[in-house]
Amino acid sequence: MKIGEILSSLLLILVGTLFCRSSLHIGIGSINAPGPGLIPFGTGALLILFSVGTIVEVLITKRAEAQGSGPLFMGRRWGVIFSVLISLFAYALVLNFLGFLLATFLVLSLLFKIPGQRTWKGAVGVAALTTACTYALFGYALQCSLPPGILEFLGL
Amino acid sequence: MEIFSGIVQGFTTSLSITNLAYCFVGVFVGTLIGVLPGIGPVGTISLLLPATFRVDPVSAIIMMAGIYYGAMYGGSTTSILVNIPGEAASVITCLDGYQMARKGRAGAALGISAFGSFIAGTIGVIALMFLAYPLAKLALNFGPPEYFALMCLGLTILTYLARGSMLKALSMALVGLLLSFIGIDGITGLPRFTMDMVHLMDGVGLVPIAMGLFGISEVLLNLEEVIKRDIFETKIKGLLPNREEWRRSKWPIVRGTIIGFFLGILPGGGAVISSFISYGLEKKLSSTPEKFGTGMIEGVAGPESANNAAVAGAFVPLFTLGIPANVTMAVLLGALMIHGLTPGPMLLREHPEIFWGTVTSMYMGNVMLLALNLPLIGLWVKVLKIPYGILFPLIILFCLIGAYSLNNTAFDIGVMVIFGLVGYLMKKLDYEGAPLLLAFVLGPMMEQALRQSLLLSHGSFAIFFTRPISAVAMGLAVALILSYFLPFLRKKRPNLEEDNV
Amino acid sequence: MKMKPVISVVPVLIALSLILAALGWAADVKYPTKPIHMWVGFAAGGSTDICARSASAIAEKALGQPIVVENKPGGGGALLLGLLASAAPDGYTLATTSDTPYTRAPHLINVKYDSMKDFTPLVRLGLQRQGIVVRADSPFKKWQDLIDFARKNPGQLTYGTPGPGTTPHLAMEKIALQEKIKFQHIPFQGDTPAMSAVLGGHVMASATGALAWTSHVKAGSLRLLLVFDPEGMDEWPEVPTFKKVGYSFEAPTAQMVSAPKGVPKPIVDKLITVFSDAVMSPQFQKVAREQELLAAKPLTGADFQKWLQQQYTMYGTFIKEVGLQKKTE
Repeated sequence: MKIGEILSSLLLILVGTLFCRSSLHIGIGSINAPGPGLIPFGTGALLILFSVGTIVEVLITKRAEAQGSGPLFMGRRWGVIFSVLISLFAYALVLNFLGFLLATFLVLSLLFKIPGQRTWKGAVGVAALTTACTYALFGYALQCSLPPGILEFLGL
Repeated sequence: MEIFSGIVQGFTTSLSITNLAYCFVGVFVGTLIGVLPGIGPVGTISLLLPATFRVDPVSAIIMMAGIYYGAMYGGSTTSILVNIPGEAASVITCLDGYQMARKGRAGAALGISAFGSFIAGTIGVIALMFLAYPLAKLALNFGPPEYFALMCLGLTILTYLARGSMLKALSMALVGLLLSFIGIDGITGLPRFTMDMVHLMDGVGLVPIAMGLFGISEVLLNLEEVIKRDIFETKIKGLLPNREEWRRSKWPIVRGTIIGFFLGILPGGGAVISSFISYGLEKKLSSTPEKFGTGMIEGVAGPESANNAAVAGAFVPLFTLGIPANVTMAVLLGALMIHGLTPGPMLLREHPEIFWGTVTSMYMGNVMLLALNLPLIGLWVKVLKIPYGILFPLIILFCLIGAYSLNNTAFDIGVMVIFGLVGYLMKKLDYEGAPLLLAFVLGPMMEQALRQSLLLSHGSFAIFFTRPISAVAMGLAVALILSYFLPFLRKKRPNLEEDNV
Repeated sequence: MKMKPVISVVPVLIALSLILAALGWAADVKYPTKPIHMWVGFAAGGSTDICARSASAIAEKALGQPIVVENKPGGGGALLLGLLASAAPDGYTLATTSDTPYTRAPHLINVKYDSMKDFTPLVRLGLQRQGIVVRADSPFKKWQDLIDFARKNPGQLTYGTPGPGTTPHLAMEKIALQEKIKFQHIPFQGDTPAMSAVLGGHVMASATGALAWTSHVKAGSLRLLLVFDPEGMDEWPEVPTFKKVGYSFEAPTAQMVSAPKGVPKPIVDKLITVFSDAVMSPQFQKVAREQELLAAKPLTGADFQKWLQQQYTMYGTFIKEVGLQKKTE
């Protein structure tokens, strides 16, 4: 797990550096006339400091095993995780075009199917039912403005 | 005596059939939106504002106040059941509440938060009745230096939330702060770290981060397990807290109520800060602090009482000074104004029925909420019996709608998914999400207060130590850091040896 | 003789085009046929929001279609105008904002629109009253006391405002320039926080919208030193205006309704009529009084456009004078 912890600390150092650089760009000002970049710069610098500290801590202690939820690269179902993440991203991208009803129906069909216990027919059926119910609750009862997309002509 | 005649007048107003009905509608809608993530009291109240145009102002305010504290009751439900904080004030409830649910004690967690909320809400209302005017000035004593000191104390307490490495918890708090700086700078009006994206001008939303970091990541983690295995222990052991749990929750509820009410008075994130100060305090006082985060009922009872007491506290500056303590209060202020009432020093003199009617209605509302929520516990617990293959798409769907409906943009869904992945990796690497989220909430206020203080003092940090309130808060923060570091440094060696064995 | 057919064609053509135009006009008058979206550039419950909601509630009755009010706050209204610039100019998307993103924001920050070209300003709902207050126990009894103090102690007089680049801030800096003194500006986010800071004694004075302080001035916990608008305030006729203490400039903030550029003329006219009527209605006038909004005479159409242009130019020079203009990269 050491590698993972060191890599993540390096990533945080990178994040800190980016914020510091951007802060310098927008102007730090001075202590009696603080500019918009002053406090982000300080925060970024502290983040770099603490991440270096974490690396040192990981290296010098023998207690290297993270007690998190199991090893990082040994998840047994990476395929599932990634299909879920990608379908959700796709949902965000097509939502405005396809509209709430269609996009939700599609993504739910996928999600119900992904764990691999249901047939396509079953997944599609449950997805259609769920989409209809949520639309009734959020779109009608709670009056959320959900995007109509290409189904706008239906006037729902 | 004036107070008692006021109370009598208040109850005659709030006990009328019409106002009781409005109160019920309010708390009912509040509970509903509290349970549904994304749709918060702010959105709902602003949605209902136009509908209340023609209603009597007292009834309108009674209903909208009901929505607000009703949402606080409901907010803990999703935290406990599916690890999705309905709002910032129930982030802390996720830590131990969700763990209790996984151990089959969802009923107890929901029960104690309902009872805790009821007790805190009721005591809060009584305190509001008697102390509102004496305490009004207290809120004014908090200027920028006092706020900064209070936030420092808050951030120090964050380290008490950490279960693993303190350095990692602090790093996460800093990441939270950095994220909160994205968007328009409140002082100069310049956009910062927006990468020229319009959607980032307004900053990153709290709700998408919270749902991603807690909800989506938890779903991903659970999906990793073989799906057939039950995520939750299906044998539900009792629907309500047992005698032992009551004994353990008693004092956390009392302490949470006091902390919540007083911090709630301060404009700013009173409900949020009080929830985690209460958690930090319970962990500090506990004889088994290491067990916090694994399903300790104290970690649910304290913060849940605190955030409900804070609601009552938040009405103090609104009614007495016309200063809204948070966004919901700002909308309520707007609602009062639409009805031609200006909250402030003249309200009690000119319209006593508004103040007393609303306050006494909150007493009735709390009773209704308890009656409404207790029977629901049985229903909520059944949710956990749904097979995970069906439950998880539903959880994701609620997150999707919640993230979208906040600002009506698909961009927030993208943010939520990214933080879902980040949260998943964080859990794998033993980084905690709570410090990140809480620092994210406090960040803008903290930065502003610091910069305003430095402008006021012409660059001198002495301002934080020469003013009594900020000096006390700063002193407490320093003492806490020392009390954390000293044993840490001393214990370091034996710890290493232990690990070697 | 050969001309005859042509000549006879002309009236037919004219008649035809008239009929077509009439048909087209008639089609346009069928506006609105679906709900109209009213975007608000500020959060719910704020002054702009209340104005937008009350005006919309009255206007929707005249239009016969609901007006859905949606809050899209951010960047002091600049975010909303960025969205409005690319919205469909069909009259179904309108916006209520203060004039800040039109007249001041483009000079202060990089915005994603041209405020004088990308929009159709419809109606100016009113002007927001503003003033400068101190705490009741402050040694500053009148405006001159404050100026005297600032002159003797450069940079020691702290004042709060609802934010940088807001009219109160610009006005105070312009005053400092004219009086050749230096104030210490402490920006807050919004009128109420700035007012609370003066109430709590954290700043010596605050320049904010009137709504935040009227009830406190009435209750005697704050003292009003100076009023921005030329007419002064009815409740406190003794309090001087800018003009009276020798400042020759004005710094108004308006609440206004606008649409994207390119909305058909008939729709523009209809909206202008409906919203001006809404402003003049007793319900709106009552709300305006409570909101400390001067709404006696709504400005519309070309007059309004001209006024906006003037304000834009005025604030441009104003902002340059006090040295707050955006950095050009």
